[in-house]
Amino acid sequence: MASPILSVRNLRTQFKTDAGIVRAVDDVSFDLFPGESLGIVGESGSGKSITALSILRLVPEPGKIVSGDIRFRNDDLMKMSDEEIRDVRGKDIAMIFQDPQSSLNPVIKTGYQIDEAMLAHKNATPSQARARTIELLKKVRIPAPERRVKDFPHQLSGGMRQRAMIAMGLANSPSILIADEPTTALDVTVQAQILELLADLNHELGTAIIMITHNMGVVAGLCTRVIVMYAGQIVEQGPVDQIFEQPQHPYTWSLLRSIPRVDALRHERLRSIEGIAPDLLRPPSGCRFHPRCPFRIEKCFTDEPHLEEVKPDQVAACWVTMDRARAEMGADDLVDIRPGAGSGVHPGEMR
Amino acid sequence: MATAAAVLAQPIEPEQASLWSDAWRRLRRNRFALISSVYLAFLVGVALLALVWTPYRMSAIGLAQIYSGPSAAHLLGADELGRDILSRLMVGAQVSLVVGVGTQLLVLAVGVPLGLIAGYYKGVVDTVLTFIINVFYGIPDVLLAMILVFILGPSLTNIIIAIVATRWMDMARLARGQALTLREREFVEAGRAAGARPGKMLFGHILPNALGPIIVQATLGIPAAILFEAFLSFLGVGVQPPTPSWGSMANEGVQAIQYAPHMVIAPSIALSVTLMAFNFLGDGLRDALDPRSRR
Amino acid sequence: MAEPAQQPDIRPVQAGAKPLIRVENVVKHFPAGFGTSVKAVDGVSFEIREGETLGLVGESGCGKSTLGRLVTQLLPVTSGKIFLGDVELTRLRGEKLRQQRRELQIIFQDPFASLDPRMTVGDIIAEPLANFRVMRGRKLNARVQELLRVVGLNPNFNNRYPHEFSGGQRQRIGVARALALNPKVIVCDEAISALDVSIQAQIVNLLEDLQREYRLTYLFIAHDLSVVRHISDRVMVMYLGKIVEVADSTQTYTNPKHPYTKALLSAIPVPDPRIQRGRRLVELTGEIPSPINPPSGCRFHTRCPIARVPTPCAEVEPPLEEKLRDHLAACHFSQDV
Repeated sequence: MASPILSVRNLRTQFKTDAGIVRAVDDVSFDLFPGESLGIVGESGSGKSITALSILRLVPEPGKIVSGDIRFRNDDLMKMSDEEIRDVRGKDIAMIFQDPQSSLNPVIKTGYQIDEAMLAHKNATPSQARARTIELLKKVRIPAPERRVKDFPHQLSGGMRQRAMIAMGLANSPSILIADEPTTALDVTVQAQILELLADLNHELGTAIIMITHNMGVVAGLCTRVIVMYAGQIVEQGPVDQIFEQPQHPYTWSLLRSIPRVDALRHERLRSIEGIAPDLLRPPSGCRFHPRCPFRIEKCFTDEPHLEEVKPDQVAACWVTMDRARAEMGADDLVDIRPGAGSGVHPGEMR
Repeated sequence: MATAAAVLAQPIEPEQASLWSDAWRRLRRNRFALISSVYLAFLVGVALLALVWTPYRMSAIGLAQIYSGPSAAHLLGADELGRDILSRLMVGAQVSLVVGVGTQLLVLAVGVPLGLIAGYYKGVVDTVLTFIINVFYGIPDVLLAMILVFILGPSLTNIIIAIVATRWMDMARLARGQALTLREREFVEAGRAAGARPGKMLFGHILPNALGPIIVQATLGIPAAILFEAFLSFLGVGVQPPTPSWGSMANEGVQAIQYAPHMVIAPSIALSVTLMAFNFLGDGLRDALDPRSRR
Repeated sequence: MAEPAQQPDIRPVQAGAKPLIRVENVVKHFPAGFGTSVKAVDGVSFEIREGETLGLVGESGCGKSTLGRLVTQLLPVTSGKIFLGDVELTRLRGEKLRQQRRELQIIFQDPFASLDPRMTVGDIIAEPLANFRVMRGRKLNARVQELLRVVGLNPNFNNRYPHEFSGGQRQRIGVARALALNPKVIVCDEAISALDVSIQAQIVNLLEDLQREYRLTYLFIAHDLSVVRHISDRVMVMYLGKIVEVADSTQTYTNPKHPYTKALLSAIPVPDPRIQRGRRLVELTGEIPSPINPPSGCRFHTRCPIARVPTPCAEVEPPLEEKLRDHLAACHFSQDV
């Protein structure tokens, strides 16, 4: 196996507030391999966005990266000077955000903003930059790119703005593209197109993608490996097929069962996760998920579990794990409400 | 009963915390505001005391002490008629406070309802009110005040009315702006969906949420009113002798500044410190009540 | 955690069941300056049957939120009629309209903005009852506590303020408020869209339980088609101010009769990698047109994969008509979908 292109070890990012210290990211470690598409999935407060921002040292005040090791190829991003990390941003590692409206400058023409991405890194002359911008807009499937470069962001639709953001991100041929909820604010048809675009770019250009989202469907379509985060920690990690078919952490399992499926054959009551999101100021003792966990045992209240291998290439931080819960407590498995994999009815198709 | 599996809610903070008690806590932490409040409380005490006792009667003339500086008998000296400055300062405090607070209470009573109604209903009502406001803004305030005092006669009440006539528009405009913003908020729509009548909408939903900036504006309006009154008295159209106002005392003091500077210094310092105190308090209130600066 | 694994499907979905709400040719145009207008809702007719959950889906600019506001008369119609039972809502004004609000309530999208931050939770829930003078004093307090219990909140927290609760809890407060007057119809306007995924399931289950318990009728407006599929008996799909398809929820998803519905369904990501990998996205050309200047004929023709231009799709607007039993669609070529 090739060596990882990005290596995060024991990352801790905290926010100092009047009420105390918020441990937004609490000892997170993972690797990203070249050309891979990794999904980081979690709900609000899970720490997924802050993790991404920490990689590029873009954490907003009053947040601070307290400890951790982040290596891109062989360089330690944490030890770099401000100038050096600015060089990495937008060139080796690019990031696109949820709301293209606020990421794009409304008073500067779109084409120029993409040119800027290259000019700022002294990667091209102005005419070379403009040529490449048009080429990039073509690549992200914006029609009539020669005209679009002269448009201001508000003249583009939401979907096109996001494509322009992607073009900007790809301008300097980065090895890694971090996408933080890039489709959450978009209509579902536009979302599907953007995701397809990202998948094609991933295959064509070999750019590794870190996809941050709360939508399990998005992860299922785009990613090869998945990290599940809860309350600032990684609770499960593994290849996407395995995580979806045999989730070992009760949170992952519960999350999958609480999502309504558009291809469901009959109406099944959703299995909701009881309780509310954890308080990051005073997180629960022991396992942070234990107050909401249907399978907890005594140990879960007191001892914090660590990530351990539960299946080949799959790790989870749980004292019980779903396999054991099923065996010992008789938890019923995913009742088959969907057609058999690989066959049957897809939404929108007649049987 | 088919309820959701009981999710007994745990509110995020353990104690009951209304937005007002929250603001109070933050205000207490502002040292300047705190000191100002203490001073103002002291001032109110002095003013109340002056109702029943002052070292000398404020109009007591003493020809032997005219223009005398601070001494054991007269802690702050005497003025051109030998009257004790300290006593007159104490009575002057009454005038300042009554004018300051009185004008703002009237401004609230007039400006807030008008502004809220105009902002909530918009349309004709708003156009008319805006027109009236702009007319009032067009008249120079000193001129308006002087004309009103001239017509109504120079009593404390009339001075208050005159000052209110020049200041109510600020409050009306503020209230209108608040109503315009708040009427678009979803909880206002929710109130309508819940069957609230228009009166309830205005005074049950919009007013409580607009109170923050309104209170701040009223507090900061107090020193402005006091200063205005002092200015009017300085010009000679304020309170009439022998009632002392800090402004008229300063006026008399300026005329004797060469040989009796204590006459102008005392009321000027009193005025300045009081104005500062109200401003610090107003600023402190603004910070404490601003929901955006939470944490 | 005692939760039943399955619920019997008791859904009153017969066509011909008495309509509780009837919408006839409703139009809502917003002036957009210079004589133009945004045609947010442009001639919409449908009915909501007693006891059902009617889902309303569509993407941005389709007019679904506006339609929700029109049904509850929080916005006046430009033209058209809306009936609640036998009462013509669109004819009423002032106090008479206000009285109808007892039967027609709404749950809003934003759990943070829809509750007055200066009122206690108890007052918020009590407000509808107080507004109509239904009850007072101890009876009112008892009812508020009962409502809190029914939505799964601790009844002792009626003295707390909204900002002390989480998003999901606040939404429960919104549900309690909507329930207070025992209305017949509740419009859920993106009621779960602003919540975390795991909390959404809680609220969905709560809404379903309450519907069974109190015989409620829902108009469930959302952009998340998976949730709408789950909770609705029938589904309406809107595009650019018009209804393009109405059918029962299973039919909509297994046998759509409008190309937009089909495209929409193909775009929904399914949380199952193997299925997701095998799916084909129906590509729509272009972007959603502006509602100020909707396309002629069938509004969808500019992006439709099966449109035949210019005739008839660019010239003749297809009527919303029955293609199968109780399954309506507005398309000239439903058979090709």
